Amino acid sequence: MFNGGMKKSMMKPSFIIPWIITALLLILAPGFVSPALRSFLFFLLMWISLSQSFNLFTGLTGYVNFGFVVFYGIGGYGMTLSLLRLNLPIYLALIVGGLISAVFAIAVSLPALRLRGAYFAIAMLSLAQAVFVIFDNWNFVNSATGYTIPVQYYDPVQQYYAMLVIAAATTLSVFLVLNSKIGLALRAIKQNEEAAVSLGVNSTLYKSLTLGISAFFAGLAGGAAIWGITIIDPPSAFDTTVTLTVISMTMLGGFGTLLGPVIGAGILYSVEYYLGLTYPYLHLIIFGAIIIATVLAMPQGIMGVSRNLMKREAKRSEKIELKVKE
Amino acid sequence: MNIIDVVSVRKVFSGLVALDGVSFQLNRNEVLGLIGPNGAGKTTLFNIIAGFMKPTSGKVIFEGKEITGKPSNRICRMGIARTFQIPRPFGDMTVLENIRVAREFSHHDRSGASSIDTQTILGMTGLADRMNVEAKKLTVSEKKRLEVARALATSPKVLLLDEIAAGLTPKEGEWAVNLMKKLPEMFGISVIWVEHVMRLLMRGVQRVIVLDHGVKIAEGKPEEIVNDERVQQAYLGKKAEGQV
Repeated sequence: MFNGGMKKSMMKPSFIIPWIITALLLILAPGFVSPALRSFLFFLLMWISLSQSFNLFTGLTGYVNFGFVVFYGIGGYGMTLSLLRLNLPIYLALIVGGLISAVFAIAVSLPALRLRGAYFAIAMLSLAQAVFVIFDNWNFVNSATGYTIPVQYYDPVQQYYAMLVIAAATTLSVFLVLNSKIGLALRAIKQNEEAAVSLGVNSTLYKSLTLGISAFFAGLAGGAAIWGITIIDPPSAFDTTVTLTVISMTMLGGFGTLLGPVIGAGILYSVEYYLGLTYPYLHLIIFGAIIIATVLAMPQGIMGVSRNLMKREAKRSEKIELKVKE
Repeated sequence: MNIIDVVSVRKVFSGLVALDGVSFQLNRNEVLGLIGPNGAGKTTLFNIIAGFMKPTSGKVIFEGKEITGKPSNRICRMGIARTFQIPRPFGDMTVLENIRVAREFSHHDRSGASSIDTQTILGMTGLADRMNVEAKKLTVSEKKRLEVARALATSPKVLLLDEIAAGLTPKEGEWAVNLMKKLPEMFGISVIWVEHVMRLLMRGVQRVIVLDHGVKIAEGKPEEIVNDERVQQAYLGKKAEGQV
């Protein structure tokens, strides 16, 4: 009753069956798709993981994280260094990358989350730039040269499954957070932080914790992405375009919803992939157009529009029922 | 016995003195009125007691413990709840969900805090038949009452009410007076009530303190305050020289 009406609809077969079919297709995909399509799906899953982890913090708290890519990059470097310097097994290296990213996020959140609105966004953007400059000049991380993941680790099928698990885990974590006490605190903070605090909500705690969880999954996705791409250097690991893409995807699908980022990433990455093959960079113009259209026509994204349609439908059927009773 | 001691609290905003050494006590189970012209420092005083601001100097003591400068969420959990002059509802949540937030996050630091059940709160604030309505769809009067309902759901020992009757019809205002009778008697809640509607306030409180330009200029029973010359001056201006 209190959980935003989410759980009830999630139990319906009409909701569960498409998910099971999608999951089965994705699990079986490497067995029957071409390597090109598998690679497409790998990056699609990466964008879903990234959009979903971005959504986990920004969608639920309303704080726009313009430095999001820093968690992707630190996760990527964390994985690479654990693999090459510490000789950790690949899956452990991935988790270490995620954890380093989470610890970093919680550490920066303490000063950064004292800021609100545009100030927070700009602080995070500057942070990502600063980390880029540091990595670009830091011998410990091979400065501007970066690293190449040795060929013995290359295994596209394993990489695909790793990314699939990360995308699923990130989506699951959004579901769990939405329906937990943390979710309730975040909803209150997003709608009126002062009021939330005046009612006993420790907003700093919940915001930092959520940024940490968001960074953990972004770091995991970053690590898995670098494992697949096999090259990491500062300009690509801390590329602001990644942040902008993720913002577009989440916005198109709908901030703060469970399925929005999945839908947004699906649409935009498909557009990018097919246009990118024939007209490189054209997709950026299309992205821009889609974002402007989204902001103007449906600020709550595709999920917001479908929710409103469903509400309208429910009201209409209620009215019909009333008329029938009369 | 007093539950809150405010000791020479001073607050300066970049040169402007908002509060200049204000001291007073709130007794247990008392309803204390806090009045003063606009800009007298009433809301600033609330912000300081509730932990939304740190005083430049001075102390706030709650049940014998100093709480000056503690974070506001912590102060709420210790037992001081406030309402906002301009209502701040969680607009996309229903009335019940708004109350649920208050309930969920306010009970950690006190064992055996007597909590007022939700039905009673909804009844007292007249929101029972609106409980499943999204807060943004409420009327101004209902939003003001939702502020009170949420504050009550934190099971406070002290309630700071900031203009809950402003802009309400006379009939709605009566609700506020009745509430002031119930809170101490039925729930053992002490109240500081800021209100501009004197007609209501004077009937709801046992004692009044008056602030003007950040200074406490009077303190006493409602009937004493109404006849106090300094209070009249603060509200109506000084009498001209020689006039009788």
